[in-house]
Amino acid sequence: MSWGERIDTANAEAVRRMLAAQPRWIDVLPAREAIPGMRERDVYHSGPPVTWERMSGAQRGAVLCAAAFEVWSDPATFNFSPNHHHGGVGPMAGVVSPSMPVFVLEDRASGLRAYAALEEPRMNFGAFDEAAVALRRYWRDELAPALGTAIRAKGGLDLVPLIARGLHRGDEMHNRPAAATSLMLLDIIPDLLRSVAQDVAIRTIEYIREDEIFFLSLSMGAAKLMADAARDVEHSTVVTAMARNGTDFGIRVSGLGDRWFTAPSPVAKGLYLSGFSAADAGADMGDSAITETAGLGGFVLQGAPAINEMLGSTAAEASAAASEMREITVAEHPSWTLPALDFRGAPLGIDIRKVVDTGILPIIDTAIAHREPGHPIIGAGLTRPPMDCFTSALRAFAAEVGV
Amino acid sequence: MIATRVLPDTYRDSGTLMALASRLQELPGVTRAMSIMATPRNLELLHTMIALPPLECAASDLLVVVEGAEAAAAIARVDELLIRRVVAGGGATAQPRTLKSALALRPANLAVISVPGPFAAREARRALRRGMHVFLFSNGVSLDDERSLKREAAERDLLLMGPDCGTAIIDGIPVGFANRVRRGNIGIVGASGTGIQEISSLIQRMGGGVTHAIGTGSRDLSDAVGGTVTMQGIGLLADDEATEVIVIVSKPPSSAVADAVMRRAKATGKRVVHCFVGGTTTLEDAALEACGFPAAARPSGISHRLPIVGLFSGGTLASETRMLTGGEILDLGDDEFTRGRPHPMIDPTIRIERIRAVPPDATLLIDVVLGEGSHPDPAGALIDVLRVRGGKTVASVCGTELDPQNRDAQVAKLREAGVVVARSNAAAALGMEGELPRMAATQLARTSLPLFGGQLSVVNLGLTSFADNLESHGVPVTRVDWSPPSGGDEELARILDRLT
Repeated sequence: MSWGERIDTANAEAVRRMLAAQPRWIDVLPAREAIPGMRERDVYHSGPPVTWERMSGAQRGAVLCAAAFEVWSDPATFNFSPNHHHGGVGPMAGVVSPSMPVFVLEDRASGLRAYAALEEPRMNFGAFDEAAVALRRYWRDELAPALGTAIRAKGGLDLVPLIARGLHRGDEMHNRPAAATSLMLLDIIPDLLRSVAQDVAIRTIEYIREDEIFFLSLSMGAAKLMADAARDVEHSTVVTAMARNGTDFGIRVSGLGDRWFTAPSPVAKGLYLSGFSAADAGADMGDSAITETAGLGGFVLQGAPAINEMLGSTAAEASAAASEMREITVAEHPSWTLPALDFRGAPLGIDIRKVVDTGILPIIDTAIAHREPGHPIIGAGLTRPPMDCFTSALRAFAAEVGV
Repeated sequence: MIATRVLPDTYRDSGTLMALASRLQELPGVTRAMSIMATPRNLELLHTMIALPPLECAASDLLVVVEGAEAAAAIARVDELLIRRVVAGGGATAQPRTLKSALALRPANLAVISVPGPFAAREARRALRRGMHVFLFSNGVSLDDERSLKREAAERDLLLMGPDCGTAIIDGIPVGFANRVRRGNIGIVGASGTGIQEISSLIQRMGGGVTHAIGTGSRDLSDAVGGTVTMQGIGLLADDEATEVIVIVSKPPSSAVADAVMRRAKATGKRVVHCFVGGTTTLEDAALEACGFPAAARPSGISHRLPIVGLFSGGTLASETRMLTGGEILDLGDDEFTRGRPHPMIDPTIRIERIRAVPPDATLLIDVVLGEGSHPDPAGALIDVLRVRGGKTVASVCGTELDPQNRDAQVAKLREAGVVVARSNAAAALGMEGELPRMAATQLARTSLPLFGGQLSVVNLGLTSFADNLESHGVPVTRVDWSPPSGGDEELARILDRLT
């Protein structure tokens, strides 16, 4: 068998495993209970590994917020490591400290678990003021216990079918999981009302109702379980993680183990909120590109035309960019289908060979954080990884197999 | 100052609200702009950001707040700015970036490839694997790649013209650098681009016509390649009912390959004419013979004043002239002159520079090659520098009156500048006078190679002029916005080749 055929076979297996995963939301717990091995003064973050010295402004801001929330001093001495090294993902800064609640997900097929840090527009973007800390306290003290109680009472929520329904209602599951947020809320309202105090249930429902992007943590967690299922397939060139920490962009590849292939993270192109401009923008950040790794987000823009305006693109441009993703992927998702494409499936399984060969880089929906600590969200847009991540991974793969 | 506007019962998606705010913020005299749905939570958030006047609004209302010296003027434009600005040309879909996506848009049966040599073989291989015939213009393809591509094409019963194939005429349609000629009864198989151009143009000018001209690539008749595509081309013309005469043109082949090719050609039972440039038959002789005329009598010596300097743009035309005159004949289309600059058939600059340096007393021989792909007015580009040489330049104009440049007009321009224009390349070299014989032109019925199913449909990778020319002949062309793998890194391309 030629190397090409061997790799094609391995990639088909990697994608088969992605599709076999059955991600299910089962709990909401404090990180120290959800994540095996998490110790005091451990702080997990998005993207590939980074030191305090090289950490981006927004991620540092989020660490400062975590310090205030945990009431710890001397943030430079925290034990930093990536969420991806602990079976989890976090949006934007992705900063997780032991008392912070996280979503717990389980792959029903394999029993493997993942966690996903919560989505919100303040600490995740580097704000560390009282409002940012207060939001975390509200989560810790009320929202997370209520959701945890309700989802345990429900017995869990399967996410692949829910995402499929959301895709038919105009979501792409990264910048726009609005329909999935509503569907998820509708699904758990009876369990909330049955299992927690009525005023708490109502506040919880109202909170989620007001936050269209709430479901992002769950689409990320589902994508993480799928991507993890595809890890360590010998000779596979399928990407199993794309993640950024605001300093570096990193990817991991199935057949190359836990190695990161990194390059400086780019600044997204997009729209800015009141008072901010591109001059304020920090480099791209967050584990949320795990959604694109699993065929969502920028890969299914044709199904979410409502976000084109926010991304600053026309329907034709967005559609063309997303269609190109079929050039760099190995399969289509059988149930995540797009009505606008006559029900073709989401393009799934990025092959680094195809990326390097065609020069087509994955397209990623993203939010934009400030370059300095201390600001909430400042914008949203589109970005692509640096080509160097893919070329260095391909060179490493060639060296590994001796070609 | 702060200006506010409430649009009652107006819902807009958060993306649209962001876009509105950003458009307001671009207006002069605006420091900040916000647009939100006036939900209690949003209002609360807004109050923390800005000192708002009392407002009457409900959760279903859209609230716009603008701060700045020109806030009032800005807020007056909200309705207008809420309407989506359509970007000019924004409706256009992106060009496909690969052969695969081009074929998803429209099926095609011929890939025209002119991307840089190191990447050309892989594109050709992909086209073959998708069942397409290939016109491979690129040079710089390795011999190993050429052999394996030709083997693969033969296994798949596909035609691979090239690499280093400049010219073809498929079903009357010029591909690459080719001249416009009428349809007729003469088929050409050629390992030489300008050789095919010269013969097909002479045939047209004598009143004859061409069924197909199949380019094989310059090395096809070498021992290393063994004439694979030449044999295949002869076979195709043998099966083509409209082809009554088969012309084979090449630079001198190895004798073993030449024998095999000639045996194959004779076995077709059709009339066969061959011109191995450098042998006894000139390109003109071959054209005359193909049209049924006797070869012209050659003069015993050369009448040109010595020394003879040749500055050519066509490789085969240069070789033929070198062989016939023994002069100092340069092929300015050779790699040594074209590295990093355009071919002299497209850009006359290098030839103009060289002509200036020719000694005034020498006889200058030049070719002027017309047709698809060539400079739009090559004679016009040269006449200023030629005029000062008086009558000491002899030119041949390879082309026809049907070509975009119109041969008659080009000849007139040259003659007006004092250039002697001969009827053919060989006539220019030997200083032969007189015009070509003519027969009554016959327009033959259209036939087509069975290979192309009667309808050429093309994917173009590389030179856009090739796509433009094919489209001007009504051929559907999908253009690939090609870029080299990984920005042209050849080491990565080699890795990719081994891993795919």
